[in-house]
Amino acid sequence: SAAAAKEKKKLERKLEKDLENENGGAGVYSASLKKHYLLADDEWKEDILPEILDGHNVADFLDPDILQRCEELEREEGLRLEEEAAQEAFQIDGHELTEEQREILGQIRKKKALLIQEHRMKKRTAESRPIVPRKFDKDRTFTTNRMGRQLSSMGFDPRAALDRARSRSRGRKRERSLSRAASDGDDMDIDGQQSSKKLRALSRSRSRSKSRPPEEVVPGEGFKDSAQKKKAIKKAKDSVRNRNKEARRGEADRVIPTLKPKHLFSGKRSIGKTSRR
Amino acid sequence: MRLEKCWFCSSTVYPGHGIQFVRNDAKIFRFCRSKCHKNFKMKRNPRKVKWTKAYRCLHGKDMTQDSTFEFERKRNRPERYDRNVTEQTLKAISLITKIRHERQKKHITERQKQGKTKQRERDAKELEQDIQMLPKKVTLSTQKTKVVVKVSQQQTEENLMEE
Repeated sequence: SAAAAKEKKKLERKLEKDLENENGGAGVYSASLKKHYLLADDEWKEDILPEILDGHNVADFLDPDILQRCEELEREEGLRLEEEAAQEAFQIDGHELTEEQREILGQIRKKKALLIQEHRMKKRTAESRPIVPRKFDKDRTFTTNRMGRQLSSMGFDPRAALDRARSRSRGRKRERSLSRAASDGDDMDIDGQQSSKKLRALSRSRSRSKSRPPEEVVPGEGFKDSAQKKKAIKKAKDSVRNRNKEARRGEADRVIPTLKPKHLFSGKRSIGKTSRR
Repeated sequence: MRLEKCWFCSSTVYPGHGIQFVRNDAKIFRFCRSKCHKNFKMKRNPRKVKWTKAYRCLHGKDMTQDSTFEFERKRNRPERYDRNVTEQTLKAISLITKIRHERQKKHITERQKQGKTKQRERDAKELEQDIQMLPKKVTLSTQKTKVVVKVSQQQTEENLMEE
């Protein structure tokens, strides 16, 4: 009877090999690896679940008590939010700058940046930009208009300064008229006139010297006419031409070079012949 | 299949990405990109490279201690599958992640508060000290605004008295 029971059991239980043969043989039949799972519910054997979700491993979160822990977490979060709200209400009194103050601060910073930039430019070009006295101010950069503009930019009223500058210029004119009166009052009229004439002549000659052609004869030079001066200039240039071709520094350069220095042209040659050099 | 962290910068290394170095003592170094791998080969210490998570944790720039980190731990003993537990877990992951992000953001805001306070004080001090650099017109306008503020305060007082 035991042997018979064993035989019955064998007949009932199918081997994996038998299943393979029934379902198409090797290479066709693929056995399910899930059918032997030991789960609380056999329905769950065919479930498909993700291994990763949103950059997290699902397996790391699995926990039988996850529901309770989540409830605790939510409660904790609620308390934390309430506390934050209370703190924010308490901290509303922030010492913030007003909009206008912020704007003024912006202007201050802009002005600071400009000053720094100007200073750096001066520092960079200080040695190569000499200061020119005012009498050589040909571009007329120092004018009353510019002074007025600068004073206005600094926030001052420039009218008083401009009036003072103009009164000073008028004062100078008055001084000139006084000097004329003094000269008229003197008894030596001839001397005064001569001196003024000389001064005028000197100034005229200085101003005219730049625009005069080179052949024009000036009294005192020793030439009788323009042709003679022109001839003299030509002779001077001709006499200098040969000297200039000899690469000398000037009339005083009378150096005689050593064309064959002895220490370079005496003794035996170590290698080669004379024509090598 | 599992998401791992880069040994150097602590970024997430997804499957099919990055490179892996197994040392002679079987320690595994995973790298998310060639940048981290090259830094490793140059023998750089992640704690001293500013763009790494290790540096940020060491210098208090990122949150390191929180209860939400306890929910996500590598488990070396697999649990028997249970559909109900798995469903709860999948729902809980989004909740836990959301709360963690909020707390991280809060941490960063708190950390930057000191700097903002100092900046505010610096601005106020600069405004007070350097107000004279500007022309007087602007300064007068500020004084006028102060006067306006006083008037408004008086009005509020009158309203209170009326009530």
